[in-house]
Amino acid sequence: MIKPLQETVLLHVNGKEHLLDVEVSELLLDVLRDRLGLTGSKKGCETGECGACTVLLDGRPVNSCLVLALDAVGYEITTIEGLSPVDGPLNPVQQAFVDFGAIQCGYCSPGMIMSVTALLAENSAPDDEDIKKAISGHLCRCGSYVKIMDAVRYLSTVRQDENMKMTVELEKRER
Amino acid sequence: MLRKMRFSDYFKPADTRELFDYLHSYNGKTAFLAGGTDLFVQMKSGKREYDSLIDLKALNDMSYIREQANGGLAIGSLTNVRSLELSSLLLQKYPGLSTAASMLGSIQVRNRATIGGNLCNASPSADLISPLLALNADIKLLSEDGENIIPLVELFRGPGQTVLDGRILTEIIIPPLFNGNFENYFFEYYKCSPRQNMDLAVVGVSILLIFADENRQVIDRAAIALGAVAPVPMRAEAAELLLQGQRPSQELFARAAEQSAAACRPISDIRASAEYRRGMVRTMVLRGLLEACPC
Repeated sequence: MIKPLQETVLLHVNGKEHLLDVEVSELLLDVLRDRLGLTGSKKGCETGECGACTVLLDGRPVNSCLVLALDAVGYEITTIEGLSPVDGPLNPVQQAFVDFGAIQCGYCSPGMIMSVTALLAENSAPDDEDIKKAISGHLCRCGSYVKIMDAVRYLSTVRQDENMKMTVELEKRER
Repeated sequence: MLRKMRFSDYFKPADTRELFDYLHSYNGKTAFLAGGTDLFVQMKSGKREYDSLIDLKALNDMSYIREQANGGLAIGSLTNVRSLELSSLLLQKYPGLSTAASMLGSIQVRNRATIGGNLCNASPSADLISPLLALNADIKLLSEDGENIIPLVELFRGPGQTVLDGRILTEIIIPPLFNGNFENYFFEYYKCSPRQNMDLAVVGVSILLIFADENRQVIDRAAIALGAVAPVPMRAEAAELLLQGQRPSQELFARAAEQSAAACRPISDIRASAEYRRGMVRTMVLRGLLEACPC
């Protein structure tokens, strides 16, 4: 049984379908960057330690440098480009990173933002420990961790306030 | 220097029949792929080379954590480490395993890495091996001739070396610890690594103590498993025997810690010296025992 080095795959990326011929050994990160032009996901250590290549598979953060493109079939893949429209406003996580200056060179930012997005999806008001755990798989060589923590803490507080407002609203309605 | 992975075939069998047919017909060098978080790093660094990869992830449901009727537990080998970490069952009843899962790599790695992969990669420092050794876990192996069950401890031949020889690890079986009474026991995993997160264990220690009574007056059974301090993960059997049937005391715990340090066979490498590792075994075993039973 000899199969070609290439296979045709259907990848769901940021809500769009892409039919692509990929090499069997090609990594998701390379396909995203080199074939789809989605260069927001960065190539760093290539061994799953720096987190610069982090994307979401069905909402869960993974290192796209350690996932075969063939193995990403069937998942909804989300990259930093999928978080907000090209000409539209940034999403709240991106905006908070900008507002708090949580970016220096910016290389780690897309990965960090993907992990923070996943964190906030499962935990609406994370505490400092939760935040540190969520971004522990990311290296920022500029050392902007303090500002990153500030940005995510702010998001967490906003969520808490929103939750509070909703609870108050619900209580009012019930009355 | 990292290189591009170059393998020419990728096969994702839907069932074991397809898998064994493929193994018969394929002549090149092939490896089983689970999460890939270790395998791909080894292939990129040139440590391992294969012509093809067989992805096991489409095989019938091998991702589960199930309590058994006999009071034990069965874990499918493709269960990812993140699921172990988030399992409330493990947190409640097998806290040492839960802790070890939460300390393995990053969330991104844990979302992909599997329990079976962590065992079969056979790294002496693998976080999940030591707690499973302390639990006397067995493993179910599948070959074309059928299934057989062996003790986990028999899987390892040396660093990165196993007795698998083409067989697939399908399930991890944790025998019932005692009469299902999870009150009278202590089970925890301790990891020493230079960085708090995202680092390999320089020493990993699992401590499991079953007490004869609720007041923890007498130790009924003890298991101490050590990682990263010998060619394969090991149990500190002499120290365990020392503890069994005894009343907890500082002096007893100090002797058990000393025995554990004497039993390990650490090496010096870029991560730590043998002396440091041995010293940390003593410290961490003592710390664990005192946490189990402050005295």
